[in-house]
Amino acid sequence: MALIRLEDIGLAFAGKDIFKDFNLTLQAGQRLALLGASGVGKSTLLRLIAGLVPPQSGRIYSRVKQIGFVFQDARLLPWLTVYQNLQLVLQAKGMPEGVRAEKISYALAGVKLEASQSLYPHQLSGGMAQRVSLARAFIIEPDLLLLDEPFSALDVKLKQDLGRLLVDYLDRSQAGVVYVSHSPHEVLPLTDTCLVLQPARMEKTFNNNQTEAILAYLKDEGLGPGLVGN
Amino acid sequence: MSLQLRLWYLAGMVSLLAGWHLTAITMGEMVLATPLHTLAAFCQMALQREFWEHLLISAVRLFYALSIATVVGLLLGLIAGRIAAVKMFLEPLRWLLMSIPPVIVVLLAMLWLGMGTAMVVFITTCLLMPAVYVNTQKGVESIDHKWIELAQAYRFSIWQKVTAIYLPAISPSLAAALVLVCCNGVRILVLAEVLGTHNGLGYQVANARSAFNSAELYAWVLMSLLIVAWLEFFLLGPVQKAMNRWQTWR
Repeated sequence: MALIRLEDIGLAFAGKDIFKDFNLTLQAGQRLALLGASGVGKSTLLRLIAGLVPPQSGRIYSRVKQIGFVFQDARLLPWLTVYQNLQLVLQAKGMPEGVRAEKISYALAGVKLEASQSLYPHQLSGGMAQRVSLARAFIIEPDLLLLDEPFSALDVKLKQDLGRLLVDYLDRSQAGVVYVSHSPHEVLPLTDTCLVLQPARMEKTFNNNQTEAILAYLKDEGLGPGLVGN
Repeated sequence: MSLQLRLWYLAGMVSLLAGWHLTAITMGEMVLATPLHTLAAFCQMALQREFWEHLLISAVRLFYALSIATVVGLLLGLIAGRIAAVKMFLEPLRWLLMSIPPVIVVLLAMLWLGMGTAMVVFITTCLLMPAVYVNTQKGVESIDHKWIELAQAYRFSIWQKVTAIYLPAISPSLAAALVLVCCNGVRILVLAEVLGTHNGLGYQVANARSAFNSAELYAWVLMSLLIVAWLEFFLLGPVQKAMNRWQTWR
């Protein structure tokens, strides 16, 4: 069953086509890696899916009830504590007050931040803040998880730590995933399908058991050593 | 505040009182009562029931005007900050209310509403509302778009957007607007009451002026200053303290 379907999507910024007659179907539980060079529209595609940017043409059919979005930056509200940041998304979901505290404790334990619930975001390190951001996305039990290069600003060690948290969550979850990254090695093990976005709109779709084929394709297309070599 | 700064504040206050006293002696008591005579007249007035009745009438008018101006200005500012069409629709009215001299508004309102409380509240509200509206609208416009995206992605309700994003984000400009509203509110209220009422603080100011009772006139001026001080200390103080909690991260 399709979780979300984009049909003949058109979107242009400053006279430049970002998407033209673009189609994409994501099945329930499908995990899609989105690869492509900078500026090709990967983050914009996530925003289209999340409804943050309306398409200029075409239609989006969605059966998504709850989206969890992890942005490049942690994007925690600076005037709220860690606990309050998590509480806010549970309130938005309409979760009764009595259940929230237990959920938050469980989610914070999952990202190993039980002791930090009363801290403000400016009192957290970059890695801690991004862990809270992951907990915020997980806590609402989304049926679609959108990840926009969530670890791009972190060092290698933190990337590995947070990658493990993500793997643990995805092992337990049935959520559909769209994972944007510059790094095939980071994203391919966590996904089952890969879409390589190209500026000329010659998108290429792979199954993720074709890792070698994806890497060879990226190399052939000259998407850059940064992309292939990470 | 350090002791040194408190001393500077005290020095400024003493200089002001000394200047007032010297000017009063130079110009004569008919024109300007001395601080001591003003204080004596104030104490004498405060013992009379009539004084408190007039004060209560003005306080009620001020309460209505401040409440309406703040709530309506805030709501319109929040909407106009997010919807450009609403901002453009309200722009001529905003310009009109901020440009027209207050005394003309008083004269027009007296024609439309007659003399009394309705006219005073209408004028004070009309002249205060733009300050709240503009500060709120500009504050909302300057909110980082990433917070709006976050609210959209996680489907925050309108109430959550207002209380968890808009109000904390615009709290510095909103605090400035509230100071303006409280201080200007008393000024405009007294102006409207001087020109168009039969009771209240402004009416008593006009009475004292007509009777050439300089000490009583300045006692009422002192009273209006005390109202502003009360508003700043007891009303704005706690509100700003609450708003400052949103700014601890800065």
